[in-house]
This record gives sequence, structure tokens and C-alpha cells, in this order.
Amino acid sequence: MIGLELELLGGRYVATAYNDREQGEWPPHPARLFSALVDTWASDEPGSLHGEEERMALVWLERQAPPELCAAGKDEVAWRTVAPVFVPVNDTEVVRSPDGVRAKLAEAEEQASAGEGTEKERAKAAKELDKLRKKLGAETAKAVAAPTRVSASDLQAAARIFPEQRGKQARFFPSVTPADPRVTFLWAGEPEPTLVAALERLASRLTRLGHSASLVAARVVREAPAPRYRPDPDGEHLLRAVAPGQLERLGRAHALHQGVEPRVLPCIFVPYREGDADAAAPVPASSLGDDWIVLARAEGPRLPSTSAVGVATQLRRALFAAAKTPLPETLTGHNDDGGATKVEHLAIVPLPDVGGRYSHGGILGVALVPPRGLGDADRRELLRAVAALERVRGATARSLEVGPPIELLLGEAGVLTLERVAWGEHGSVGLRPRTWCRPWHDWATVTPIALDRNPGDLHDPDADKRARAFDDATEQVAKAVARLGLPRPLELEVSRSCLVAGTAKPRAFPRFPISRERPQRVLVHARLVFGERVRGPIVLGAGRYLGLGLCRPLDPDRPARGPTREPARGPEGGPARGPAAGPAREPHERARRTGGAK
Amino acid sequence: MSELKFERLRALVAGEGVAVRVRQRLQPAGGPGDKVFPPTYSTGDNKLRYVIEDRRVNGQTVPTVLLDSVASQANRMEEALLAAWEREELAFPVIGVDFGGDAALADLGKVTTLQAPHRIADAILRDATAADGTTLFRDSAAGKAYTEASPRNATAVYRYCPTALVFGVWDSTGPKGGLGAKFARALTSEIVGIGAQPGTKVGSRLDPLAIQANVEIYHRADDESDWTLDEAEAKKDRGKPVLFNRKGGEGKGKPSAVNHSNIAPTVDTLAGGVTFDHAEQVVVLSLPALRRLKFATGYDGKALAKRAEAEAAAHTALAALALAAVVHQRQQGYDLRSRCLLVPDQGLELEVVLADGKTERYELAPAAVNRLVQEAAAAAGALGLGWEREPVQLKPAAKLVALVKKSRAEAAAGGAAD
Repeated sequence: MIGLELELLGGRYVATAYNDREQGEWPPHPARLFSALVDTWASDEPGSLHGEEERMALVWLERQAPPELCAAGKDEVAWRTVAPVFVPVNDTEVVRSPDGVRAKLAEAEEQASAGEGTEKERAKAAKELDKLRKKLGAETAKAVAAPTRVSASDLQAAARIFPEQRGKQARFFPSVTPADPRVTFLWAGEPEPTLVAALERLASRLTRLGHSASLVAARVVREAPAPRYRPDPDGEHLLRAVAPGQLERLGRAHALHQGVEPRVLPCIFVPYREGDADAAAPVPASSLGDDWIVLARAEGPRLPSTSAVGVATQLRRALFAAAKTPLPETLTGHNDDGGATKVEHLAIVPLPDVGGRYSHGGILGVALVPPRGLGDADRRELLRAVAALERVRGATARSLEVGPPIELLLGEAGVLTLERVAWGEHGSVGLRPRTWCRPWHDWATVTPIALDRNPGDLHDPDADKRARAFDDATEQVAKAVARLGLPRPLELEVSRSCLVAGTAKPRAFPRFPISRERPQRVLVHARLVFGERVRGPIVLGAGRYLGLGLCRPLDPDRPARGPTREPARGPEGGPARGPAAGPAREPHERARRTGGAK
Repeated sequence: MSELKFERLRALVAGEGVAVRVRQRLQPAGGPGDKVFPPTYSTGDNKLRYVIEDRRVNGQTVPTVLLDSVASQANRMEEALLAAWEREELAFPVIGVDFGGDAALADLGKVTTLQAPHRIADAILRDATAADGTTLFRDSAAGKAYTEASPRNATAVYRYCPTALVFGVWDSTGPKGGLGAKFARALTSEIVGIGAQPGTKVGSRLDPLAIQANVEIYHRADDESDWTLDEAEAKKDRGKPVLFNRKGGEGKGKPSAVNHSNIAPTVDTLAGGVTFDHAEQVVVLSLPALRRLKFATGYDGKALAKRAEAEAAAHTALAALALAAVVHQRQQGYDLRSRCLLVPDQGLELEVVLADGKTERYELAPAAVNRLVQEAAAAAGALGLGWEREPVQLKPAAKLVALVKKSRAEAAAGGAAD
């Protein structure tokens, strides 16, 4: 066991949440610590012997499982009001800088000082240098001279260059003050003595974690108090951690952004649970797994979510055609006799961009969702099939993060190119399995559920008949939830309109199934509120293996758009709902509000 | 508690110490429990509020209010250093843009790197020229050396503007654009009020002339920005005199629009001052942050003979300068803003955090810290890393001078017209 103890010297931790610029971060994310250590290593002498040992220590760290944390609990932490701070800008300009000539002059001086070439060439270079110097002098004189004509903007620029009138830009510095200023990261492994010494050297040089005002003192420890935060698939906190290959990725990213351009920290998202060693009761999980294979859209048309079934069908055909050997029933859904299998099998689920203010509703990519607990042999078959599909076109991957391109021919819609996410998390939130699988109690559909039976006419002008149809539909959805292995929801609302921003109405979707020989199924959206957190993915109904009935946990800070309620039995009765909502709302209200600066 | 001497500081900066911390207790000048006014920040809905946090101390919730932010404290420390430099108690390089060359702008004085918002990288220095008026600062020897500086070769910044290495600087708008030298701060300071309770503020006006609110005033016909009581002189609209109204002002036609008569009291509970148990200034000087700075070349531009020693000496000088900033700022006092004057409750105590987590305590008087700075700078200079002896004098570009003169002339003319 080895740990890194950090003391927040000022008692505060100033760091911005990864997904909200106006929110602080707590507890400190392991990925951030890793980046701070990499920065410490790189700014010293990475090429020296000590530097090489430090690099090996970093590689050792990235190979470890995500660390446990000893840090103040979320209720022992003070979240400072986040107010905009107006910082003076520095790009006011009265004199135009002769940057172009400067750059040329610098280059010429460098070449001249190298002193290469024949005497004639050197003389020519010297003359050129002279000319450039004169040009710089002339441009400078022009730039600093008092102007003949003065415009209002000139006067304004002159006024604003003085400190008291400098223009300002709003910035946020979220700050968190924990009750205990010490944070310890603990890894279970035992590195060899040279690596321990290297880590000790890195720790002694670590200056800050987060913003530059968040100064720290770090040291290596071999024992620590009981950890407060532990990695746990059912955990409620999502922390950014690192995976093998992180150091290399950071290096490559740095070559591009140079510490200047905006960038996103490459990482994996790991759920952490806060609290004591005795685990809470396990969260009920659906019978579909969360170890997805995500194929992100790389090129081709941006299809609306209504094309989900079409895309899924095409991908399924292509996948099974490319696989050389017959695939097991956990992947195909057909047993040996050719009939439908009873066991849970692979679902092909297109993932739309929904739920946010700017969501466009289009398909971001497709997820291959295996059943939960898929055997290793079957999983290997699946990976082999995907690899075979990737080889069809014969192209190579364009980076280490993605697989080779897969082309899906979609007829009139064009050719959709998909790339498998090979490492870490995709940039789009909608392509991260966590977004669709995280334990939550409040879910809504983003593609409609295809009901097994016709519930009746949901548009019947007769209020009673319509109410019965809605009740039947509600019962069918409840059964579909049970078929997925989840407890019965406390509240279940069926709707003909959209419940999540960016989704399409059921009426907008093409008939399902596509084939006219089979009866068309009724499509409805639904909202499910469970009495406890349940782990996804939740895909319901007859079309679930082709992406219909996909549900998304509703973000508590961005409530779903209310469904249009169907008046059921006149003014006396309430709207058509599933089992009555109980007082069980309260624990979730509390759970929702944990750890937010509001 | 003993005084922090040069030898001890050198050993701490060389590797034994991790940080120097000061936790200074403060009370309002009016006595404990007196109301003070923290800085206000906008909330987005046109209101002003304080920045607070509910700290957990021993299981209790203790509301805490921000009294002076890190940036504001850095500005005050730089001001204190400037004052000490002007009094010639401290000697270190300061670059200034002297507006005194032109008699009309003499009142602007000198704008130094300690006053410019972005220190040596500031626009006001970028747009200044050397004393001869023909070379821009960034084309001069000092400017070019600064442009090429980086954390791996911080000699130019150390030589011309060492305070920038203490407080941090980023040359984001210089010739290299965003790739310009970026140095993180080594010193942070913040003042908070512990156990803060909000108060209420009231504002009103009782007119000493006792002008009544029901008197009507009108726009003048010949000059709309002026007012009159006489209907004959008033601007008319369809035969009726037009009531006086300032754009964006309230009280159309009432004397309060022209700052006369009474104003009813307003009650402000959101930003009405606070009382607290005590205030605390927490200062942190990070020694690893100083040790990170590397000096590939010396004062003379050549490689250093005893590089490790020279670097350690330079780090010590910077640490001494940082401590001088802290000590002189304390000496300058804590007059933070209107109705926010604080005084220290106890003497200055430097808490040194060692690598193994233990702490040591020292005191440091202003005279002693001045000596420290001098000794440390001399030691570094002897090893090849010295501070610039002749202060770099810049003057504003002729264009800027002309523009400022013109805008002043216009403002004066506009005033006369009123």
C-alpha cells in the first residue's frame, strides 16, 4: 500500500468541476493529481536518470486501479459562493506591435549568428539583417508617432490602457474549504524501492493541485486513516481517473495545446461511493450490461433519432454477415432451431444526442449492448465479429483512440461511417455508457417503446376508452420493466409526446416492425420513477434489441419537459398514472441535492 | 520565538522547507464585534452580494465571509513593496513608464510593474518606448530577454522584474502570443471573516435646504440638460411644460432628479455589512514553486559556473522578497475599503512547514526583512544571478501621449459647454 498525502496549505481547494465552469470540485479527482505529477516530472529534467525513474513511477501509477481517497466527506466541506471575478484584460493596444518584422528579424539574426555559408552569403545575410533592422525602426516610428487623425476608438483605447480604466473579463474561481485540509490518495500496490524514491521526489516538488492559488505540500505515506471514498460501480460520485496509456496521451495532447489552448483532460470516469466499509445494499440492475462497445459516428449523414431502427438493422446485418463463424444465441437472439431465444441477448442501440439545451436529437453513434454477465467466450466472439467488420473496408484507424472505420450503407440516406471507441471515454456525453447506465431513480424514454399488444386507441375521442387504453399501455410498460429484471416503478406515465429535450414524438417514427407482413406495433414514450436507484441500461419493449424504448436517467438539475397529461376520468379523477406515488420522493430529493453549490 | 535569519532561510529554501505560512488574526478597528463591509460581487440579477461559505469546524457550521481575495491581496502587497522601494528601504528592479516627461501629463506619474495589472507583460509597458523614444520596450535588450524567458530560463525575469516571479505572470499578448512565458504564483494571501453574521444597511438623504418633493421642475427650452422652475423658460410640448427627466433616472419632474430634496430610506439586507468573531489572513509562500525556477544562463548571458548554488541563491532572494511583501503589507495596514479597516490582534508569526510535516516558528520585523533581501540579493549576485542595477526607464509612446492630451482637452471642452 502506498499513498500520497496532500496538505492544502491555504486550507482551500480551488478547482473547477469538469462539467460546470461555475462549480467547484470535491473530492479532488485522481486524474487531476496524475496530471499535476506529470507536470512536475516534465518541468524538471525528464531526460536525466532521476527523470527516467520518475517516468517509470508515473507509468506504474497509471497501471494501478483507481485509488481510494481519504478526504472530508461532502457534508464536511464548505462550498464558497461562486461569483464572477472581473479580471483586467491585457489585449488593449494603442501602439500597433510590428510583430511581423520582429519575427523576420529574429529569424535573420539567428541565421546570421550561426555563421554558415561563404563569405559572400554572409555579407548578403548581414545586409539583409541591416535592412530588416531599418524596417523595424521605420515601422516603430510610424506606430509610436502622434496620429494626424484621431478617431473615437483611438481615444477609448488610450483611456483603457491605464490600470484604473482597463477593460475586464468575468472569470470564476470556485473554491472549496474542507474541514480537514489533508487529502490522501491510496493505491493498493507495492512499487519497488526506486519507484518509491522517485514518487517521493515528485511529491516534494509538487506545488499545487487545481488553480495556482491552491498551493499544496505533498509527501508519500505508507499508512493512512480509513478511506472515505472508494471506487464502487453503484457509487454516486463520478470521479475522473486514469487508465494505462494516460502518460502517453497527455504527452501527445500537450504537443498540440502547448499548455495554452483549451483542452479536455483525457480520463476514464469511475464511480465512487462515499461512506463506511459496509457496502450499501446492491443497486438493482437491468439484465443488459454496461460494458458496451461504442461505435461513434465519424462521417456521413447526421440521422434523426427516428432512423434508429433502420440504422440498427443495417448494422446488425453487416455485423452478422462479416462474422465468419456462426454466432451464439446470446448475440444473435436465435436459438439452434432458428426460433427466438429466451435468454437475454445483444441489443444494438443507436444513441441520440438528447437531454441538453443544445441537443440536436441526431444519432451520435451506435452501442453494442451485451447482456449482463455475458460469458468470456461469447464476448470474444462479439469482439471478433466487430474486428471482422472493421476489416471489411480494409482501412486503418486514424488514431489510437478509435478503431478502423466501418461503413454502413443506408440506401438513400447515404453512407454512415462509424469508428469504435477504443480507449477511454468519448468526448460526447451521449456516447459514454455511464450516461445511460448510471444508478438513478428517474428515467424517461428517448426512443419510444414498441408495445407487445395493441392497448386500444390512445387517440380515442371517448375519454373513458382513451383512459383504458392508457392504463393498458401503462401495464404493458410495467411488465416490460419487470422483464428487464428491475423492480416495479412507483410512478409510470405513458405519453404520446416527448419527455426529453431533443427527442421525437412516437408519431414521427416509421412503422415498426419495418416489414409490412407483421402487425405494426403501437409506439409510446414513458417516464419511470422508481422507489430506489436502479442501474441501467434500460431498453424496453418489442423493439429493444434494435434501439427502441431506450431510456435515459433524468438529470436532476435539468428536469424533463412535462408530458401532456391525458385527462382520465373527468375533473374528479386524476390523470392516468401507474401505481400511486408514495412519500418515497423525499429520500431522493435529498439524494439529488448532495454535494452541489447552489 | 527567534528571528528568521539569512542562513536558516537559505537552508529552508534549498530543500528543508516546504512552505512559509502566516495566519494573522485581525479585528475591526472599531473593536471586536464592530460591523465591516466585505467586497461585493454581482449575482447576475443586478444585485450585489458577499462571497460566503459555511465552514465545518469541530462539527459546527461557521459561516465565513471573504474580506479580501487572493488577487486583491496580491495588489496590496505589490503596493506595499512599491512604497518601501520608493522610501528606499528595499532595493530591487522595478520597471516604470514615466509620464512625467510631458508637463501636461505629469500628474500621471510613473506606472510601474508593481502597479500594472499584468506586471512586466502589461500592455502599458508593451506600448512604451525606451528613453530615446524610438525603440519599443519589447525590442530593447530587456524586452527581448523577457520575451525569450521561460520557467527553464527565468534569468531575464529575475534580472528585470523579480516580483513577477513571486506573484506570477503570463505573457499571453506579447510577440509569442499565447506561447509566451507563463510563471505561476508562489505567494497567495486571503482574508476571511470567521463566524460572520450579516447586517443591514440603510441609505437616505435629508435635504439641508428642505426642498419639498412636490415642487415641479422642467426642461429648459434653450438647453435640455438644464432645468428651471419657471414655466416661461421651460421647453414646451403641445403648450404644456415638459417635466425634467434625466436619462435612466427616477423621479420625473421632482427635485430628486437633480439631487435635491429628501430621498426615502432604502434598506439593504443583501449587502448590509457583517460582524464576525474575528478575521484571519492566511498567507502561503510555496518554496517548491520557487525551486521550480531554473536559470540556464547568468546575468552576463553565459552559462553559470556554479549553477546549482546560484539557482538556490536566486530562490532565496525571491523568498526574501516575498517575505518582504508580506511584512510590508502588514506594516501598511489593512484599510481594505470604505468601512473595512482591520487591525492585527497579535504580532507577526511565520510558520515554516518542513518536509516531514513538522513546523517551526519565527518572527520577522520590517528592518530585519529589508536586511534579508539585501543579503540574499547580494549572495545571488556574487554567483552570477544579480538584479539589474540601473532601473529600466521607459516613457509612453508619443501616440499615447497625444491621445491622452486630446481626450483631456475634449473632456474639458465638453465640461465648459455644460
